[in-house]
Amino acid sequence: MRIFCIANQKGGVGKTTTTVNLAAGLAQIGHRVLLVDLDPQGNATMGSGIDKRALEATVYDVLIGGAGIAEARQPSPHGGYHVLGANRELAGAEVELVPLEQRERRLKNALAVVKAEYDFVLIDCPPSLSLLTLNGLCSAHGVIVPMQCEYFALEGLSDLVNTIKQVHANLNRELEIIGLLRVMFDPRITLQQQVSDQLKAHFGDKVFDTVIPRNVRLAEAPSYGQPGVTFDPASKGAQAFVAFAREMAARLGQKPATAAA
Amino acid sequence: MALPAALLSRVEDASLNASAPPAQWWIDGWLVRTLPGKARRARCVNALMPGVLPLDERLAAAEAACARTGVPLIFRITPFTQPADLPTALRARGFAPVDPTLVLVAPDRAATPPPAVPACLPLEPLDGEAFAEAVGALRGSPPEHRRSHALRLAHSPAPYRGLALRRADDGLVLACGQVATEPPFAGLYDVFTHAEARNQGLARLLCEHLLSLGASLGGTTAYLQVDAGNGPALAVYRRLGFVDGYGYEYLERPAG
Repeated sequence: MRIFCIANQKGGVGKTTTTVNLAAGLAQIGHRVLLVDLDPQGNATMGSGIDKRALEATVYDVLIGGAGIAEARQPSPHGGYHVLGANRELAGAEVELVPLEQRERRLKNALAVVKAEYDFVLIDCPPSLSLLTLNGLCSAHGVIVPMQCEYFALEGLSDLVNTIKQVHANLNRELEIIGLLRVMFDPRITLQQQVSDQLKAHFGDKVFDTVIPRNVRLAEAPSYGQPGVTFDPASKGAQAFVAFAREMAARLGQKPATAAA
Repeated sequence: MALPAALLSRVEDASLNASAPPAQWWIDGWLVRTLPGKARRARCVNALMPGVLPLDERLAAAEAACARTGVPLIFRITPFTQPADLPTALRARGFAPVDPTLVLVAPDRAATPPPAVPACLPLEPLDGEAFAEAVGALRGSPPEHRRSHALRLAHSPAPYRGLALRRADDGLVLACGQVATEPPFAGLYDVFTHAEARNQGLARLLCEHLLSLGASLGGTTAYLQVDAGNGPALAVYRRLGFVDGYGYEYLERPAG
């Protein structure tokens, strides 16, 4: 089981869209996937077709110790993956986690119980560096960073890289940046092309080959409670996310098998 | 290119693990598999050790084990069969060869993303039961063979993943196949294309996805078993980078 955070400390860059569609894309090519929604807004939960207001147990209960993942997870009705959902209740976990033992490793310990059941766990992190994000980063083997190719993009990235370095040094020696994913990309905009080239020059192989285009069908899909990948499989956005899933799975195939343990 | 004997021996181990049925017995160094069904590899004798009993006593004990589930006594003869003169001794007792099979291997395949599938033919993951049903329908297998296949998949120590290419218009499965992973090995099994959909590149497309799936689960050295006379399948596999590993055949008593 490989665990990845989808993170960027800049908001509105497409983290949730990436998490939901990568989960559906990996499921579509045969992988068993659990999506963990660590954002109290619960957008990844809703975007996977699960009503966050109707959940009997959520990731909050798992973090606080009131439920196991097996009790709290739900199948995404169209996505082909499981969801450990979130709602506003999760915002309270920030405070309630503070006095608990191993407060930054609560999610990691809970995931260990279901490790034989999944190939991939994708964690949708909130944009802030909080105890929730820290739980995600402590659990993960790596971080996937969705980025818009815009002027301030690199600035937000340096904050995230510093956070990852700190977590790597102090809490999780396995943590690394798996790659940067260019999202909402419009090749007709010269600035985007320039920033994309800068990213490639700076980060080389760490930039995924797949580029996710700006696509209206991806934007519409959440209001229908579906990942774009299943909402309109023929759309360019959906096809790009499936191609991204294939690229990511192939990249991981190059790593030694022990990395999967 | 001749592959190293040590690699081929490990491939044989992986293929034995991936085909392990819930019903099997050790009899004086013979691994006797007795699961009724279509797959011979789940109902045959693998002679893996020289043993100490006289051959006729071993044969009688193996035959009795097979009789418990009503399967005939069949031997799977590979380059690893022990002792090496066993096939000669079996032929002298009336056993005859059937189903010559080639084991092909693609060592350390480069991990490249597989090509996209067309929107009219979505790729679909299948669990063991659904896969046994899908491939059983394509082959026209009777219900008891499909149940037996699903049972074996559910109990396999090497986990299987099934994929199908299903026609979007009417839901018909046009091709399906499975990959069994035991890192660093990934075995392709039960690759089958609908009679109406052959020669359209579907088997190759499906295999590329199975190989990528296997590699992402740690199975970077791929292997498969193919009927030595199946020219079209051999051509597909060679284009995917598979080379000859070794051959095997079954020895069985002619009916009647």
